[in-house]
Order: sequence, then C-alpha cells, then structure tokens
Amino acid sequence: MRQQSDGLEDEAFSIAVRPEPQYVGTARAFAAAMARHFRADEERVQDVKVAISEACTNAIKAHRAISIEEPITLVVRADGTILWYEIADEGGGFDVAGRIAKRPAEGELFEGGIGLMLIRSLFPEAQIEPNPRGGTTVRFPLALESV
Amino acid sequence: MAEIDLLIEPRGEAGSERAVLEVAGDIDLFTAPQLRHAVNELIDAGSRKLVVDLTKVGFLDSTGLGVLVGALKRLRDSGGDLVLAAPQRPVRRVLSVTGLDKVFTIHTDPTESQISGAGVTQVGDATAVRRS
Repeated sequence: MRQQSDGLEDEAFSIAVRPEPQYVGTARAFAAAMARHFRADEERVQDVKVAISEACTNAIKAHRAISIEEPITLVVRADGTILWYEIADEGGGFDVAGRIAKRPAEGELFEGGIGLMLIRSLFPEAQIEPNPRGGTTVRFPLALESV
Repeated sequence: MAEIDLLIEPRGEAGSERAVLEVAGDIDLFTAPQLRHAVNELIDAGSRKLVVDLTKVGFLDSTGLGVLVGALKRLRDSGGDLVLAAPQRPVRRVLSVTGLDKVFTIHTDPTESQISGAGVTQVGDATAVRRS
C-alpha cells in the first residue's frame, strides 16, 4: 500500500562517474549508501553493490574501448516502496556494427557475460537495453520493506 | 593514486610448493590486476597449491572471479589446485549465484588450509604480517 506524502515520491539522487576503474568503488559506495538510507535489507544492499559494480564495469570498459571521457551516470530514484537504480553509458551499445565496444552476447563465458548474468540473477526484473545516447542503460528495482 | 585499496600478503617461502595469499579489501575492476599479478607471481615461482585467504575480503565481483578462475585453470592444468579459504557472506553469495562454489575447493575455516597439507611455511599470524 502506498502512503500519501511518505516523503519518498519522486526523490532522485545521481552521480556522474568518470570512466576509470577506481570509480567503480565510488559508484558502489553511493549505491549502497542510498539503499541503506532507504532502509533496505542488508543482504539486498550487498546484491545492489554487486549489480552496480557489474553494470559500471561494463560501462567503463565500453567507454574506454572507444576512448570517450564522458561520465557514466548513476541515478537512484525512490518510487513508493521501490528504489530504482539506473546506470547509463554512451559506450557503443549492443548494436553498433563493427564497433569494438560491442557487448558480449548473453551467456558467453567471459567477464562481461558473467556480469550481466549476475545482474539478472540477483535482480530478475533488470532491464538492459540500448539508450538514446548510443550506449546501454541498465535499470533494476530494489523492493523496500514497507514502513 | 596514493592509497592502497587491496592488501595482498603472501605467506610461506617464495617458490614453495604450497603458498597462502592473504587478501584484504574489495576485489573489482580496479584492484583485480593487483591480485592477478600476485597470484601469477606465486605460480611462476613454482607454487602448485595456492590458498587464497578471503577472510578480509568484503566484496568480490565478476572481474575478481575472472582472476580466480584464471588462476584455478593454470594450477589445475599443472596438477595443482587453488583453494579459497574463509569466504565471507557477500563473497559466498556471488560464488553460489554463479555456481562457482561447485568448481572451487572451498575451506570455510582458514586454519584448515594452513594445517592440512605438507610443506607450509607459516610466517607469523595473520595480523602480524599486515602492512598498513
């Protein structure tokens, strides 16, 4: 049941992450802090850390593969009892023919493939799709315990 | 970058058949190369049974798993093995979700890894060898 004026509606927080390996930890810490701020279960906080780490790792690799410096964006949006995580890059996406940043096909057994598999296993409702910036957006919902 | 994000402490003598690597910190895209380097150095020096003590690892993702799987393949190809000792809850979850808990030899107790097997040269206890 959604409460009126519970203070969670439409609250959004975001950070821009430079596409460098040391900032995977920064993104992870931010994502975990948001989950804890909204009182998510600690086990799920750990799952969020893994999913964010995987999504950012893929995004950073994609940006670096085509040598672009633009940041990756991480947005956390509270919608009632759901906390939405969204990581967007502009690193070449899925369908850019011949681009070296092309994503590994699902199920392929190397790091990028295992990363997507982990996100999907931990958050079965995750959406991984091309975005208008020419990259990929990973979006997944974290259910919060109703207060 | 001045700070050390991952502490890696090998125990035992260089070149010994069996080596223990104590790791502390988060293993991800940034720190995994340090782990890969440490593991390869031990294997190159002749270690065939490598114990990676994960007691103080609070986070591990697919990049870290890639390093461990790579080391496991190298060691098993030459008749050795890689043992994961004392993975904590977040690491155990990643291992089980990926099914890799059935691939690795896992010791829940780090002392089990140190006591069993011959040829271990233990240098002090875990806290004594930590750098800061």
